[in-house]
Amino acid sequence: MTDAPRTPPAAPDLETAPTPRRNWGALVFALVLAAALAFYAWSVMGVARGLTDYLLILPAAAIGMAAALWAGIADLAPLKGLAQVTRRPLREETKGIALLVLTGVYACLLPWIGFDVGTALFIALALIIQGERSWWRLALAAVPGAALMTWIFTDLLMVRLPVLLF
Amino acid sequence: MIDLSAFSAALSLLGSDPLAWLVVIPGLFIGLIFGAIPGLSISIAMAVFLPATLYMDFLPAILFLTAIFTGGGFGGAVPAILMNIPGTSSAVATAFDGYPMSKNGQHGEALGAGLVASAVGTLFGYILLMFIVSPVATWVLMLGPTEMLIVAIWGLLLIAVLNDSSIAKGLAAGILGILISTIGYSDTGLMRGTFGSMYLLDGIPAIPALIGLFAASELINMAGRDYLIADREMRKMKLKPILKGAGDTLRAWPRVMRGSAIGTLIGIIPGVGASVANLASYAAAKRLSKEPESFGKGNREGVVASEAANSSSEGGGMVTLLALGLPGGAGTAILLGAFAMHNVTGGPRFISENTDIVYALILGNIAQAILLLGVGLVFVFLASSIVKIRLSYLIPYVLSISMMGTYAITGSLVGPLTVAGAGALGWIMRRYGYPVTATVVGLLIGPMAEGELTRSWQISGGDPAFVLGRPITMVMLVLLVLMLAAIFVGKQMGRRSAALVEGENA
Repeated sequence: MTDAPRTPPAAPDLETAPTPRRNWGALVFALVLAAALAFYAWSVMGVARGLTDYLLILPAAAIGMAAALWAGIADLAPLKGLAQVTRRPLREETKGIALLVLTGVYACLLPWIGFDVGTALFIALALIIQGERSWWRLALAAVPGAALMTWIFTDLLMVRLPVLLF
Repeated sequence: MIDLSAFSAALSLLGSDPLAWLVVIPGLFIGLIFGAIPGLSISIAMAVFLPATLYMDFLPAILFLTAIFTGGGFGGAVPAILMNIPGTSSAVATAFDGYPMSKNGQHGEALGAGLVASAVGTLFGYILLMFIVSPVATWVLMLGPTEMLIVAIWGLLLIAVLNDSSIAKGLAAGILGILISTIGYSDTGLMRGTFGSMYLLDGIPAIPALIGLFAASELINMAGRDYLIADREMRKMKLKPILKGAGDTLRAWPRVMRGSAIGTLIGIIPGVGASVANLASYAAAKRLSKEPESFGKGNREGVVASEAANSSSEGGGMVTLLALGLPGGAGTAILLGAFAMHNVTGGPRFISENTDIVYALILGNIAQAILLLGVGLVFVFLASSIVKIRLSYLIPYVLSISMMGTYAITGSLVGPLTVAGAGALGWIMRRYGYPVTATVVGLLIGPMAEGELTRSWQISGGDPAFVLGRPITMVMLVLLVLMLAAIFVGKQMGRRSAALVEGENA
């Protein structure tokens, strides 16, 4: 579950490491998390009819907000040493971010393009994002792969998946 | 404790019914396959094959379903170890150390260790069941909502134990999971956090969220790498490491027994089951280990603790099913359905009137645990070839299977959308050092915590002094406080040692 770098990192030269940076992204995430917890608790309180409707939610949200803010402030301490060297900047995460967006788009478009066409397109595009450029490999991985998976779920396991062609 | 005449009647019952044995191996394979496919679960497998038992006699029908249960108990560990995707919620803790072991090229050992721990755990749970099925029926009835609430709090506090980054981040992530679990209709019929969407009325589905947080975020993190295991030599399929993992686990039998005992005890409590048992056992193994810092980085003990507990909880769950007619989880609920299909009602009367059948069921399950070793070995050997697949191909295939599997669970687009959303959330959380495991634990324990808190509040009338009149609650509370103190002292000592080492290195 640990973050594995793409290539083994070179031995960090801690003495010549750049000026310590602050983790502003972590603070923004902590603030968003705390705001989300507060908004959820507030929305539940707004519709609650009695104490039991928010008995767990209110104290949990309060503790969660305090913890998130505490963590965000603690993350503001400048990254030093190994933590600074091994941290991947956002620009190096383009493939991951592109895959995240693709996964979201795939899930959203499923009612219209179905699992058969959608999965074939998803596999092909995910491979392109990860550097595959051979068209025959793309076609071979995407079309039979998607067809096999759809067949297993729809015909073998009798799951009513939304499909376009099957 | 054992009725010997009923015991011998059970043996002759099993000996005279060949069908009871014919269905066991197919059942184990079905369980292994369904447990290993992300998104599918043991309960889905049991539900799909439940109608097939309609034309069987009661004993083969139940043995077939329990074989699926037993196989699935270990099947979930296979993707947890090889891909960091717990095939079932009961294999969450297996991924904590199983997957790092795979990344270190020790996937064979991890699978072998998990298989033996699982088989021994199942064996332990059922042997114990044979002795305690009658006396425990009265004991379980003494557990009220306050005791169950303490169990839930105990589970929630595991977050602090499991968290490697900071307690604040662990708490925030765990509470996020708890609050996500409360979305949808509450027990009192209130709509919470649905934003008017009918898809959210049933809440955020736990299994798709679990797959998104664990698997999708991790798979996306791996984008750009060639293989799960960088070293080509380590990717080769060999029987030797699997057998080594199995052998080493057998030699470390006290740890297997500890995990099995925890699993059985938690399995006995209705509504808790394997999904909590594996986490509790993992936390106990970490706390009692001489090298707690190696947990989460590929310690075999973590895999053993989790697998022994989730498998032994099956036997524990059968205690309440047979003794009280209460299902402990989804799997035992389907077994209860099978009981009803054959006009059988579980409960103290069933045990006293059909002791031979109860013993036959237990003995059949003991045999299943032994058979799992052989069947599981074949399955594990085939499944470990997954490390030979290029990650650029594995990522879209596994994500697609997860999407289809979660659609099968929810029957709507809520499943795939949850995977995508939870995947994005998990990716951001990993980036900023928030433990996604804590969110998953919160997600699984949240509904139970809220239900028991509400019931405790209603029964006590909001008076905290109510717990003083409940000795079991008091004992559990004391144990909880002692555990927290031990964790706190352990963390302080760890910090001091780290500071000392840093000072020496400077």
